[in-house]
Amino acid sequence: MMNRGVLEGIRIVDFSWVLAGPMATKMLAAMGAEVIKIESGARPEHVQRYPWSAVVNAGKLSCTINLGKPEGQALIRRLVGLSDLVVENFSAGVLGKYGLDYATLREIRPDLIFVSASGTGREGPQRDALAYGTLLQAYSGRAGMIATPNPQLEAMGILPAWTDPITALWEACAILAAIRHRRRSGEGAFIDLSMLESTVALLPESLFREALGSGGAAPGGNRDPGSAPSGCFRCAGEDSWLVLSIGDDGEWAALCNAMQRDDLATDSRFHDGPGRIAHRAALDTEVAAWLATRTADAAEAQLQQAGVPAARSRHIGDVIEDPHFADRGLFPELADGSRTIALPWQTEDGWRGDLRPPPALGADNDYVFGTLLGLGTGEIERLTEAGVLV
Amino acid sequence: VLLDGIRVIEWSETLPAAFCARILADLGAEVIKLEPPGQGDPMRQQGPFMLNAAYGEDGAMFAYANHGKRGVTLDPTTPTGAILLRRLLAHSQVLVESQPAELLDTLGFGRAALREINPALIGVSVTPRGRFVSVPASDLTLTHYAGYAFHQARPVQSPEEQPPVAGADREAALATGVAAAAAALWGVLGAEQNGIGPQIDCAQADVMAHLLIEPVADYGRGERNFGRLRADLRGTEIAGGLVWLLPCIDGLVMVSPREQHQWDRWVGLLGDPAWAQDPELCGNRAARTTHWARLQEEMSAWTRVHTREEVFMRAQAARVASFPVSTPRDLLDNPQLRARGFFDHTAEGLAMPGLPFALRSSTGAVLERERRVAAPALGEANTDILQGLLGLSRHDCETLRRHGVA
Repeated sequence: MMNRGVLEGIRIVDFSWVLAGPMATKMLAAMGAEVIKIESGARPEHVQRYPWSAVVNAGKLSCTINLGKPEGQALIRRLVGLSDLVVENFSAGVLGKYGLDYATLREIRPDLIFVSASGTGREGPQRDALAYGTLLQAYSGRAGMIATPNPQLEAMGILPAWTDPITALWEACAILAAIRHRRRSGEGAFIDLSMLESTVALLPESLFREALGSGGAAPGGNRDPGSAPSGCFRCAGEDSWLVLSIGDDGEWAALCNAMQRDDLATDSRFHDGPGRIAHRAALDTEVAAWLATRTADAAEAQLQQAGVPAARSRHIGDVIEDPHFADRGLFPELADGSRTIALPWQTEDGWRGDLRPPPALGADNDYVFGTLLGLGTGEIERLTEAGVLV
Repeated sequence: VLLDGIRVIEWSETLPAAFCARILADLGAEVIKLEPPGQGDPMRQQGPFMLNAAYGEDGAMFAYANHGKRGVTLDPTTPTGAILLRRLLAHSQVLVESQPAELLDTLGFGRAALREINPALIGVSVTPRGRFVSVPASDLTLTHYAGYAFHQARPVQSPEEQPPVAGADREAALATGVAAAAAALWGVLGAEQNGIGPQIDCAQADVMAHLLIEPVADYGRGERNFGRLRADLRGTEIAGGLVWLLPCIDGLVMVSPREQHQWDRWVGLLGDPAWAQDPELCGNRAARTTHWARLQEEMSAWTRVHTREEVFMRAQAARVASFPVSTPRDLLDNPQLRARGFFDHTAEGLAMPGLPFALRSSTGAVLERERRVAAPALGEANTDILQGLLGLSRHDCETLRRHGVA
């Protein structure tokens, strides 16, 4: 069997916080890396923790250290000397101020892989722009492609987080490729990852249509321009919805069969894809009327059985409890009762990463400062009282 | 090149699998894309089209998902085609495919058979719901099935008028490609450690569901009521007090003066208007959340007479987070994206988003950005691969062509 903990022996100094960075390093921890979160009881956001902290910190270690203190900075530099990767998403210039930027740390550890994730990237005229994930969902353009923008920010792609977990996926790719290169060449790397670019890279068709003057629209929201009928339809029951999209003649025949509508199947207006797209509104009306009196569960089962791409719109409770998702083990419950998200793929025998409960703040101070850095108990106490290891 | 020495065979006609293999090509792998002899990948026939490119090579999405690859026409469903694919796989490290598991078994590419051909081979299967699950699906249905659409329309004032809503553009398919590429890289690291490759099962539904971080956290804390009606119209964790969407002369801008010091600088930028002096109205974040709608109106009075660019630049200069809501045209012209060399270009001059990161090795080597990119012409590498790599004769290749195998 393949060794799955492919990052065993890799130690990561993890300064990242909020969402994108932690999600990426959680994936690396699931692959066997030793991820040490650098936190501080002096920072309210570390003490309070984000509501989703348990989800994105499974399998990590936590130590507390005050980066504002020179002694704290010196300890971090020693820790980096014993580590392979640094991951950070500070505002521009913060790590430089502490003497913890790449230029400094590569002197200590020449083969270090240093991953710097930021809203707009560490180079370029807007490198210092202050950014949050929600705002980048606007800046990337996606918030204008999903639904009509509104002051309440409802249903327009601002919530839930998108830019952050997407950035995490790209971050994992960049890091794994850099580790592979280091194993073969001994070289480290500096990675400058842009959340804006991570998001825009998934919106190519809109850019192409604009650049080429093609007209038409890329898919977006519940619009599926290449399929008709298609859309999100109301079913019987409270807030119950079903989506379907008819992409070819076979699916159209299957839908007519399921709806028992020979008249539609033989109507020459709807005979081929272009005809159905030209009469989209009429077809969508027929589907809406048919679904309005049916439960989404029954319609989904019937349509899927018939060969029609269709799905009931599910909330997270439905998803986690869905037999298919449960079978795939995507949302494991950990030993401490917390719920996390496993790797977004599995092996043939269902392995999706080695996941352990998230750490309490500073839970691994003894290991990091004692075992790794060799500080004695008295020294740790002194540094704690001096406000360094807090 | 980070993936020096990695050869990838791509046998797929789906966007997620193609994008996965393209990312591996970006990182330096040699990717050989198999296409059906004759018309090739159906994506070649999908618009939008580049007007000045040759027929079959003019599909912009095909170019985006496939540039940097070698193109070979080969039909592995023929007995001879299957033999040739087996030989290719013996010389390769990764197979990216989106074929039904039963078809793979029938043709001799099941898991056990692949292990015999090449034990170190990394199999990456990219499918809608999983290797052994065959359910009709599209990007739209998968996004709703996996919960993302529901939570993207929660909470709302009027659930009847605001149904669950899927994402933008090709996000669902392409995000799956990124996840599958990460999985393939994990496989490469493992196979290079002990010579045994894994079989990876990457499902689009899993990828979409795994993005739902906050909803999973809610569920983990015991939340079970996932109604979509916004119970209290005065605000949520986002709209009101944290983020505002404001109208400008030429579009919309978002601003987030969430910390007190940011708020102070923001209203300073607005000229310290009289309303901003009222602590009841906006003296702290709680007050701003309560009165978000009134503040929306007050702030709009100022933004309405400014352009997006002015608000964005002036707010950022005051260290207040703000960005315009970009249109596709804005993105093509975006000075930050351009300065960073984010866009690749085809020979026809079409700008294509590139990798979202710059990478510089400790010896100073850089991963190329702002590249000239081209998708493979149909069968352009047949001679190289079939004759060069597999050692077939010209006559063999003629025979394969006559019989529709290659």
